[in-house]
Amino acid sequence: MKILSCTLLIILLAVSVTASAISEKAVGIVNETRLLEAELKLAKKPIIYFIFNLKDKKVFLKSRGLILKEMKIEDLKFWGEPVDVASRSMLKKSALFKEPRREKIDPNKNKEEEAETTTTTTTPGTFDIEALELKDMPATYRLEFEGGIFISIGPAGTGFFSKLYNAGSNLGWYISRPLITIWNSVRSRSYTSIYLTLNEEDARSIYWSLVENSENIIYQP
Amino acid sequence: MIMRKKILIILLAIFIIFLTLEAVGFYLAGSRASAVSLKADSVKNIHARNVNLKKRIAALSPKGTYLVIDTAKNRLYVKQENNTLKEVIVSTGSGSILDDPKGNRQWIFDTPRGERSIQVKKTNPVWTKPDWAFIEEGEDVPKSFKDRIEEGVLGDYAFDLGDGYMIHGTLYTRLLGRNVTHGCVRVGDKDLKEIYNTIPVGTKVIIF
Repeated sequence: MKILSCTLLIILLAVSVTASAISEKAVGIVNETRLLEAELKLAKKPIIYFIFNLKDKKVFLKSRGLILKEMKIEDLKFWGEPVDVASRSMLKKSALFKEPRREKIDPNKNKEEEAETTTTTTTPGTFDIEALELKDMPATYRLEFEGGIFISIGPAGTGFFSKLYNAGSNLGWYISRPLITIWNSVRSRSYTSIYLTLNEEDARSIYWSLVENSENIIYQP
Repeated sequence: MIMRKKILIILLAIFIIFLTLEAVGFYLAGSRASAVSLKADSVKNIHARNVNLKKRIAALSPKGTYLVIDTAKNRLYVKQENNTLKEVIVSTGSGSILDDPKGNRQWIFDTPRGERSIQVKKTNPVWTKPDWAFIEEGEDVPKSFKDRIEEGVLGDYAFDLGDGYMIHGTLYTRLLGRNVTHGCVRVGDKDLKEIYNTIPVGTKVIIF
């Protein structure tokens, strides 16, 4: 009798574990299919688009389904309402410290310089240019997407002060999120906040290529 | 003494209110999490749809050889499927702004992001200078078309990408690798010749 009970119990356990695994796999396929449906809409257009894949902790820059650039998310924090898999407009990007500013060309200055270059020479590689380059892009900034979704991006710190800043920033993040959630609930607005830590160059690259009002995907299964 | 006690009570009350708000915030954020529910479709159907979608997306990617231009790193890649056949240092848009002092026009010198295709291949291309080229130099915009023609500044070869944007050669090779152009992509003449000989009209160009 005891042996029969044990066998039944083992069979029941095995069935429930298998059923759970199948169900998880099915949910995984459903999620991935939703991602592909959203991506197909963007891949049909002659544009570049980002996929913030929170499941695999990666950011992909893609066009026509091709991966142009793959960036690793070193750390990830998520707060608030779950994000549906759909293409979303990035409404605004704002730097925490200093926004990159475009240089304005002064035609009068150009005329003067033209006159000067007839008498002076410049050594190759030792010159500054008046232009926006990758190094001018911020590494710490916030992206606002439609539907009350905010993605903050920051670089991974290596030095003591960077780690101290990140620790303070983490504490501030967890203290402020509940209050912001209440404030948005009062105004009947949805709110989701995501914090991504990337390496500095990748963080700058995203700011460089991500254009306001462009469509992108946030994948949070 | 009574004053100190009052301050302590006020601080304690503020702290309790703060903790309550934090708890409510945590509750609100957590309560809205919803599990992903399976659709009515069977798993088999979803799997078939998944495979079909992957095929449809893959079918959209460029066929044969195509070009990818990274404006942040100032690199041009000649690619075939996922393989890089050649990597070249280029110059792309400066992102600078020019205002027309006589009108309401403004130009932003960015290299356009997205997908384009090579519309025309040219040897010994001639530059038809647009209005901004004169305004930038503080000169008057000429009325005659022939006054806009300038030879030799675009190198030996050029690919027309439409809307006035080109991939072309350059006299300013020391500026390769920097963001200095008015939106065009400048390539060293030797590299451009090699690309010119291998890339046909209609080749896709993806710029990011």
